[in-house]
Amino acid sequence: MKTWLIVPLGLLAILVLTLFAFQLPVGESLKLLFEGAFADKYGVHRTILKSVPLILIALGIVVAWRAGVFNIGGEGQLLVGVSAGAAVAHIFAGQGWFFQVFILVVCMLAAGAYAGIAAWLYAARGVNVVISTILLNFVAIYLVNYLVRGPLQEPTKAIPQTATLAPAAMFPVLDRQTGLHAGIFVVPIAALLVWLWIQKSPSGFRLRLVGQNPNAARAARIPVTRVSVMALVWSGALCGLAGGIEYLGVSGYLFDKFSPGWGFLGIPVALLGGLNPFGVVLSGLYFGALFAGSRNLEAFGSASSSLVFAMQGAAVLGFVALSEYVRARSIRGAA
Amino acid sequence: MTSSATVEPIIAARRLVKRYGRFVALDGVDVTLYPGEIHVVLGENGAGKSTLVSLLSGALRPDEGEIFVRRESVDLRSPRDGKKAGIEIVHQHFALVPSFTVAENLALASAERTGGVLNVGREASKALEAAADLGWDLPAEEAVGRLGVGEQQRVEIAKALAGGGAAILLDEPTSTLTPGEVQDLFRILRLAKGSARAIVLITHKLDEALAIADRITVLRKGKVVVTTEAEGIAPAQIARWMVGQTPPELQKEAAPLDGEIVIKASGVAVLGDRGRSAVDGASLTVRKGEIFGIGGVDGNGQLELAEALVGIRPVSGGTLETEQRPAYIPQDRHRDGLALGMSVQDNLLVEGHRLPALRRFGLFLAGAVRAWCETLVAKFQIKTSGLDQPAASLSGGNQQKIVVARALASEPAAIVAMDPTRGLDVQATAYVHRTLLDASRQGAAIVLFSTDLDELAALAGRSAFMSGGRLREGGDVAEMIGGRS
Repeated sequence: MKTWLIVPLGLLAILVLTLFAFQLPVGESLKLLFEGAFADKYGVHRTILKSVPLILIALGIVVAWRAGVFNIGGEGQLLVGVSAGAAVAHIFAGQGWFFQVFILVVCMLAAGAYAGIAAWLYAARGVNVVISTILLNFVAIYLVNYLVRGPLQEPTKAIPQTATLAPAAMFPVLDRQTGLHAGIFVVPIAALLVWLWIQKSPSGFRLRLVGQNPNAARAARIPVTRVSVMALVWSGALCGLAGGIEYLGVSGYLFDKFSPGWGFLGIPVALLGGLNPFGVVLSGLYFGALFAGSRNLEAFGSASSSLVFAMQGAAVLGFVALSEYVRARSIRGAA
Repeated sequence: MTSSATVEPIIAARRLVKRYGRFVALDGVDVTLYPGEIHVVLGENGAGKSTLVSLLSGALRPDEGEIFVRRESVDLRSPRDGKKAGIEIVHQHFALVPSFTVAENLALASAERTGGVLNVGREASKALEAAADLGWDLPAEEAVGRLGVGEQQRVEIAKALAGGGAAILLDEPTSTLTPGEVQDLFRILRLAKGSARAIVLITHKLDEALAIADRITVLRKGKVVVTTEAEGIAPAQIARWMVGQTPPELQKEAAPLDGEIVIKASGVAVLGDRGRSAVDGASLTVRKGEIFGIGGVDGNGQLELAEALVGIRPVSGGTLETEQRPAYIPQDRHRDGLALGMSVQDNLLVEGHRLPALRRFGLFLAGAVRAWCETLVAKFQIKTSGLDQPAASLSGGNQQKIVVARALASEPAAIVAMDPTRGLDVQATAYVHRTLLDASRQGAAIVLFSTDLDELAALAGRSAFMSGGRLREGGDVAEMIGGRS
């Protein structure tokens, strides 16, 4: 079998198996899923919008993980980034593209700085990044809880959320019926830039070498700790960007459940994308399509929304097994 | 050695074939092992030695052919099957848990037999006794990671002896040992073979093979060239079997003693990983065009001194002046040299990524990078089916060539090399030696750390000997061996 065919066919097989395991009619469910995600403008736009934060978070995860830094703190970094972005947005109350870029930069800086806490703990104190980033997620979640009931709460103090941005402050809307916004174009640009950095630049090469063999990197006089710290900070910044795009493009305000777990979902998206920036775009779209399509399955079929998570989990496990198989094949073939 | 006609062989491999894609690693190999013999399998890198070990151990399955253990055909599907059939392996890269004690490592080997319940003391004692019988006193409570390479190997051998196997295979056991340790190993192997065991030694070193072998099998390009009694065979004859030609002699060149000083260390002190003093007041001066050799038993501060010289380990005392930071050929290619999962190209870029000629506007120039890598692959005769292949898919010798190639690529003024020919075949070793000599003739100052005294003798103008973190500058190499305790 052609190598490139193994993964998509495998994913389809896993999807079928999962539906089968949930005792759903496989053919009909696949049709409903597909229609919900791709059949019309609504489905396609829904798929894209669902995938945007997932892809950006996953790009952040890619940057850190390729350096061997296991950032599990995307959720916290996203929330801290968007909190800072929302605070600054209300202080300046601007509009237009310059204002939006400014807010995105604020989100990235704040999220990068938040990831920098974990990076500093690692560099200066040797604290395991997995543990510190996980714990910092909880700090961020409760920080948002506090902010939307305290300093950042909307003026009437009736609901726990920030004031809503004026439409002119948000990204231009491309389609009024579906809510598709211009912020989606940040995704291909970000993917391209991350790809150029990681795959095509000396700096990205050092990052990958540190991830693959820190001893060899050290022997080659590459400052391993500095590269790890930089990777984690940029990883956080990309998670902050994800929050900012969602804030300026979809919600327009910050609230408790601003993120339905994107920061965590970004990790399987990154893995499914093979930790490759363009692969992440595809896997993000796949996850987005599952979310978009499952709405249809819920509405017309008899499945619960938790099915999506089962399908995603199975997809990631299956993919990891498949990619190990593909890798072993390539090594065997080459020797 | 008893007459092979009357004694039943322990292991007989018949017409073994193993292919990797289009590459035929073993092409119809016959090997017969008799009790009470030391059988040396000789061959260059890529001749198929490691593949043969893998097939006999059960780590790989042959594509064709059969393996008989005591005349019974066996199908070895895993190393576990190999162990059950009585075949014990001592790997080149040890299969030990560094953070476990010696006793725990020894006990671990028998964990499977005892069904997961492990009495460390009881299980280890068998192996420790077996080792003691041979005159080795292993530190049972010491963590393996704290032992030197030679001692770690003793743990591996004790493990194999306690396993009770009728055949023990040792894959390149001498590659990291000093001459004294090699002699000790050979003494043990002669004791261990007894009358009932077959010991197989995989190596590419002629003199060692002749020193210990009862019989010799020479592999070349996956085929058996010859299997013969070792007695009375001339080294040159074996070399011809191995390579098809006698390797050209190396010429030692007198170092120009009036050249300008490139590396100057005065009373340099360096700390080891655990904060203890590893190098204690080392002084050396290396001039342009000179190869300065540093020999000695592994683990006496060579690694720390080398790392200090190339600037990746801080100097804690004394002064160290180098004109520019030396290029570095690290000792352990798997640990410090290569990223095995990355491509051949990426591994060459470990040095190349700094070259301004290979990039523009902060990005690599794909064409220039490929051309640069292809030049190195051609120049250093790195055998690979493509630059995009993972380094893991190359043979050990070709992996090491990547490390050497990229270090010498930009014609550095100073080079620090540690065991640069470790695991290389005769021709590749001669090639690396020639390359280092060429570099020194063109003016490079080279510090050559090597546990192989022949290598120092062949290359170094002056040599020193490292012991207990101190550098002792002797006269010639023979004197330094004499000075070894």
